Amino acid sequence: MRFIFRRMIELAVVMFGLSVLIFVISRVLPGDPVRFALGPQATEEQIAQLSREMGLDQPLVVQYWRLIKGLFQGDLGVSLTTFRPIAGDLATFLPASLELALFSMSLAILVGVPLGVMTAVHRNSSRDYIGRAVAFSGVAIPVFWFALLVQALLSFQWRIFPPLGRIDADVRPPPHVTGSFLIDSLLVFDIGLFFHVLSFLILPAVVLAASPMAMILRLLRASMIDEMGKDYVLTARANGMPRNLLIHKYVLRNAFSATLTIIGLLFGFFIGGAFIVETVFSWPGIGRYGVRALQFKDFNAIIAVTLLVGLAYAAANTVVAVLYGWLDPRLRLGRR
Amino acid sequence: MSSLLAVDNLEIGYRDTDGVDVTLLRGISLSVARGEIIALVGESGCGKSVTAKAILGVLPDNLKAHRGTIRYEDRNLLELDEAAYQAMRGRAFTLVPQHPLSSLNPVFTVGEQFFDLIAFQGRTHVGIIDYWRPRLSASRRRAIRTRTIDALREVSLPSPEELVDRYPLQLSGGQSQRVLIAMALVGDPQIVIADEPGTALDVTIEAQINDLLLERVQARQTSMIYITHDLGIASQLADRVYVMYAGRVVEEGPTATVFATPRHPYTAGLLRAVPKVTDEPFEGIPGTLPDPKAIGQGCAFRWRCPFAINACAESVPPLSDVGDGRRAACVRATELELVA
Repeated sequence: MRFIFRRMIELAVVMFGLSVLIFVISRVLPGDPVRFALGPQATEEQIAQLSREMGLDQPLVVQYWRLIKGLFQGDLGVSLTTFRPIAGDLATFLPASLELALFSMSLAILVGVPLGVMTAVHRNSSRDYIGRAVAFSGVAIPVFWFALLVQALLSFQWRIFPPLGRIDADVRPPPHVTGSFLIDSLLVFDIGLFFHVLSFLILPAVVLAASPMAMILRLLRASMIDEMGKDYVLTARANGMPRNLLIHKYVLRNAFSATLTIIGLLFGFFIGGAFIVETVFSWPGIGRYGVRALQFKDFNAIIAVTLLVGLAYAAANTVVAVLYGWLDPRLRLGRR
Repeated sequence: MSSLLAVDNLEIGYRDTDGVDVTLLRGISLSVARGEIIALVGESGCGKSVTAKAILGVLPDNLKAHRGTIRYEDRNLLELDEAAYQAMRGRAFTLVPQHPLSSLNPVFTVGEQFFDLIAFQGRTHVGIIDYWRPRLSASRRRAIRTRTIDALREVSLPSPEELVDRYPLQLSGGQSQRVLIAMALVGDPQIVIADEPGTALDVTIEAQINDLLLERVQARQTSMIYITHDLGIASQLADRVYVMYAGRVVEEGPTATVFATPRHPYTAGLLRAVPKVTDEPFEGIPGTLPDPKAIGQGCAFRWRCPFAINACAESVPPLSDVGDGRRAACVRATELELVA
């Protein structure tokens, strides 16, 4: 428990640092957001008025204090392009992104981990070479190119999967419970809708998962091979421990600790990939929202998206750190 | 005495990255009778551990047995399939490892590691249902826990009830080695192979571990193959001793006779290299083990041997009888007067 508490404190410190950083960067960047928002025809009075309305004429410290106060009240300001509250926008777009991210993360782990174990166990066999070739391509192929290729072939050419969006425009989404269409459709036992939604999700998820999956595979393979050479493996084998138990329980648990750290770091990769994938597949998520905010220099929205992404990244790594402690008693108990 | 385990003319080697065949064991023969304790002695790198791994069937993938047999009771282990071999590990023979601190899995408790060993020892595969069945049965869980605690008590570990729930990092080196001895003995093996079990420990702890091993194997009438480079320990523990050099046995016989009157210059050199608690200056053997690729035709010890003659480079002297139940592999075994 103390371990988890310490991690939480760390998370808070990181988030504070991030908020200061983002705020300062957004204010020192060249270009006046108000001028962008109002367009080239705006008069000086209009600009001054909007600046006042948004509090941009106040000292930086006051502006920052307002931002933080707003954050705790769930108020992220208004978008400079649509003038809608950003918090509401995020609430609309976040579930789609979460669904995509969690689904493809699970995909990456569920495919990457078994393949990593398999290639390590059958080292230098044909299976190993195929697995490594797949992994190498996964890391080497750029996300945007892979996304376009998959979309062009599977959607436009062969028409197996729908190319864009999250759901057909004429299909009613399931009632909002968790925000994930997959889970919500299951909650109302609508299997047809479930597969409909899944058909939209599968392509972006696979594209997004490819690279992290490949990295998990390579890392896990390397650390499995490393672990299999250790003394405890030899001793367990000599004592008659069943081989599959030894590998899938004893070796994997040791090897996974190392991989887990990387999965936390990979989360940053996921977010970067999500911006591209959501744009290519018109996925109505935070990534696409963020890209649009960047295009229109919508500073308030950029701050909000960046903070959210930062929070997600830091939270993912906190979860990883906690899991890590659970997996590895050496961290929990401390070395003597 | 009929032997329980007999290794005969075993040759093990690997092909290196240049495609050259390298031989590590160059025709090892040894035997262990029921209840007998033998010692394999020699410098690091002479092939002691490879011999142990070959018997246990846990050689690294690149090492292959080219020739010879390993006979246990009446079966040649080298011809067994993996399932039959696996059924013997932990029961016919077992290992007490060299590095106790790294030989227990760091992320599971002692009890957990015993649990899987007791429940599944000797099986090649454990399915998910098999895996959960003993875990879900309270009586089976209790039985395994009791057996674990008994095994730990047998190796004189204090408060074994608490120890089962400890992680290996909470144990000292000596405690870890005791746990490993308990683990090795839990399947009631016929032969314990101890690969330098005390080398990584303090001298006093090493002595305790050796006493414990000796006491346990004698109480159970278990045979033991004790691997060491420490001649003092070998002479205390073993009934018979095999002196190995560069992948061969160069001298073997009853421990007391071999150490009192060695017949091979290498044995004599090793004995002189043991530090003594006197003012006598102690002398090592000059030189190092030869590269296994460069031994060629003759005796592998010829470069370091003070008595080498031309004949030593011509052919490998066979291990031949030199009286008193001993055998030595030296062309001058019977003519030399060696000082131990």
